[in-house]
Amino acid sequence: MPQTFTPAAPPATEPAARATALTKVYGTGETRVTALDSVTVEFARARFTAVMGPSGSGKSTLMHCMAGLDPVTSGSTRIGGAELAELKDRQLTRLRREKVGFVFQGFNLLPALTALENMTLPLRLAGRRPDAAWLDTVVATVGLGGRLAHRPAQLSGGQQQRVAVARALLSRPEIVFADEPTGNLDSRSGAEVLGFLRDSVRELDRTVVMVTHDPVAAAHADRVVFLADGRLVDELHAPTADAVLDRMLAFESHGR
Amino acid sequence: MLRTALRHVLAQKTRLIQTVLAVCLGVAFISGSLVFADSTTAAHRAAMSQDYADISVTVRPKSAPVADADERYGALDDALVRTLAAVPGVGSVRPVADGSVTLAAKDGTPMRADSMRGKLGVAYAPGADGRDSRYPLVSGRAPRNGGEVALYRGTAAAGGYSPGDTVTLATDGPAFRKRLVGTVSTTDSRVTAGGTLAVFDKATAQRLFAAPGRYSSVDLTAAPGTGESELAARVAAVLPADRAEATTADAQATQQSVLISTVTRSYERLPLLFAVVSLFIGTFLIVNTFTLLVARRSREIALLRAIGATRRQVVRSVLAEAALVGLAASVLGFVLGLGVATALPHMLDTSGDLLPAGPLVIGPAPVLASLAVGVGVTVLAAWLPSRRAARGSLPSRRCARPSSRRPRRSPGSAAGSVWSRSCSARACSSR
Ligand SMILES: Nc1ncnc2c1ncn2[C@@H]1O[C@H](COP(=O)(O)OP(=O)(O)OP(=O)(O)O)[C@@H](O)[C@H]1O
Ligand SMILES: [Mg+2]
Repeated sequence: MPQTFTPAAPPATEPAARATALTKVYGTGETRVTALDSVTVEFARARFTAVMGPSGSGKSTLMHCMAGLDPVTSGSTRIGGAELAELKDRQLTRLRREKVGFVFQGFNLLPALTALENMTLPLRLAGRRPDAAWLDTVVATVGLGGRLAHRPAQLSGGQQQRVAVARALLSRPEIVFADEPTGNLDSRSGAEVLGFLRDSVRELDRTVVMVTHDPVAAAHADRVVFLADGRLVDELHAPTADAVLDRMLAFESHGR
Repeated sequence: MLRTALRHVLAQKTRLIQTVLAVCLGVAFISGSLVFADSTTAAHRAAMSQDYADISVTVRPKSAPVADADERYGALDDALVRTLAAVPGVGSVRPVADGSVTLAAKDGTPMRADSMRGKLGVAYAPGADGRDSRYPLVSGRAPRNGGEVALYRGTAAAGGYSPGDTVTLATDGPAFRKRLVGTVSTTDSRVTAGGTLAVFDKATAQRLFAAPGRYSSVDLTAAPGTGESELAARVAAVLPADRAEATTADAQATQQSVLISTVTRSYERLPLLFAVVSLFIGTFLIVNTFTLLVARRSREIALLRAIGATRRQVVRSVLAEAALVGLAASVLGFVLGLGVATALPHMLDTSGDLLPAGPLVIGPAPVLASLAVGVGVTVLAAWLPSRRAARGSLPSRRCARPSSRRPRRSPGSAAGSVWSRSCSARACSSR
């Protein structure tokens, strides 16, 4: 049985990110949607967590709320020790810039900038220069060597996604939220990106939270949490693709 | 950040054309009228310094409350002219009898009826060689008695007169007639700028413009080595203090300049009004364009914010775009303005006054004003949309969510069916 779980990570005192009774409601009246319904979840430091669930179950919403991109309706979200709701806009911006990397599900890149410029934009916004060696490593890992001077429009969907992953990792954030980072990739480059995410967890003690629909991708993680209808319904440690698939099928027979 | 802004501007160029055009037109009218005013003033000044080239000091009667001509011009007689000639430092003395006289054209219509200036009547004052160097004869001869007159050749041509014709003239009294005996030329800017000039014999001019045996003014040239103000002081010492005064040519030129800039400034009014109108319209266009630009880029701005751009950075990037647009528009507008400045003299109704021709004078003021106004208006107008952009919500989820275009890759058909089924079930239940 392929074992991807490494139990060596030290017991973290404070989780890298934590949501407590997190509720997110969109709209009012007729159009009211409870995207997250009192979700409590912790993402341990230096762990790779996959978030799974049917479409519309609130995975993206969870990512956005945890990263401080969307205000929550009630409950609390913390990154490191910081309670996001208490941060001022400036502090939140600083936190996003320094501690959080984000890969969006869809639109990720500025069309007017080249791949390289897109990757280094967060650093430039922070007034920092990218570390050349680290840049090379990241670029090589995501396999974008020959495409750095291209505009997003000249890149395939998968290449764009890899630029976004590279961007999220380049500033060495403590925690990376990746919303379906391999959704557009073929299995080989998908595996490379996943390996890269996993390595940054193993070797650099980063924390990665990744949304995926793919049991094989989820198997790269240390832990999988399952969302359904805005609630946390299950979790799985040291997952394998088969175990994940079994869980998914189990929902079908048990639930709804 | 600037490079990002530049790229955006270039990427959106079609949308920006109308904005650029509006700002460009506004700036063109501003720079055009400013350059025009500068050029006209410079040309006037050049013409005037020529008018005063052979004059250092002018002696005039002091404006007295008594309007009586005998009284007013009483001091400026031949005796005073002789006294003045004896003042040390005086090079030459030219007694002048001139004033305003209206001519009728041959068909009887008054010439330049609507203008206060440039209807000049003068005395022919022959020097030692029997000619008047100020009014060189072009054809015929100089007027010798009260029945004769000479005209500036341009005036004669404009009035349709040829030598031998009878010319109808009027000062403030009843009209009178004289026979045209010759034509002269002149460099006097009042005349060359479209005015009329009638030349009379000395006695007639004195009677018309001063009083018999009196002059309206006396022009003095300084001998080499004597300064204008020095000469004016010496001359003032010999004048009857309460009846005549000495003014330097410099002071007169300055006075004239002030007068002329007032006139020129009134010409500026119309183009400046155009400028205000087009900039006003431009402001709306800019606000519109940038609101649109910002709205179209809300996803980008949300993304920028999400990856760590501060509000201020977003505002700044939008304003940088605006500044670039404004700068481009101002530069274009300035160039266009030079065209406006060239065309303005032909479009303005200057009531018959010809504007002196001269090169375009491009001072730093019009350049700075154009850039400041063009860039300033654009940036100011873009400020509101930029604020709105920066304040806007973080990633617009509606947009961030992928449309169904992306086929979902599922590891197994079974799992795929789970997700898609539960999804559609949700979709139903949420309706
Ligand atoms: N901006 C929004 N306004 C209103 N409703 C929203 C908004 N964003 C998401 N929702 C709703 O919230 C629910 C959860 O959406 P979310 O994007 O988190 O789902 P997801 O699990 O990421 O789905 P997918 O797998 O398709 O990406 C959905 O019902 C969705 O319609
Ligand atoms: Mg999603």
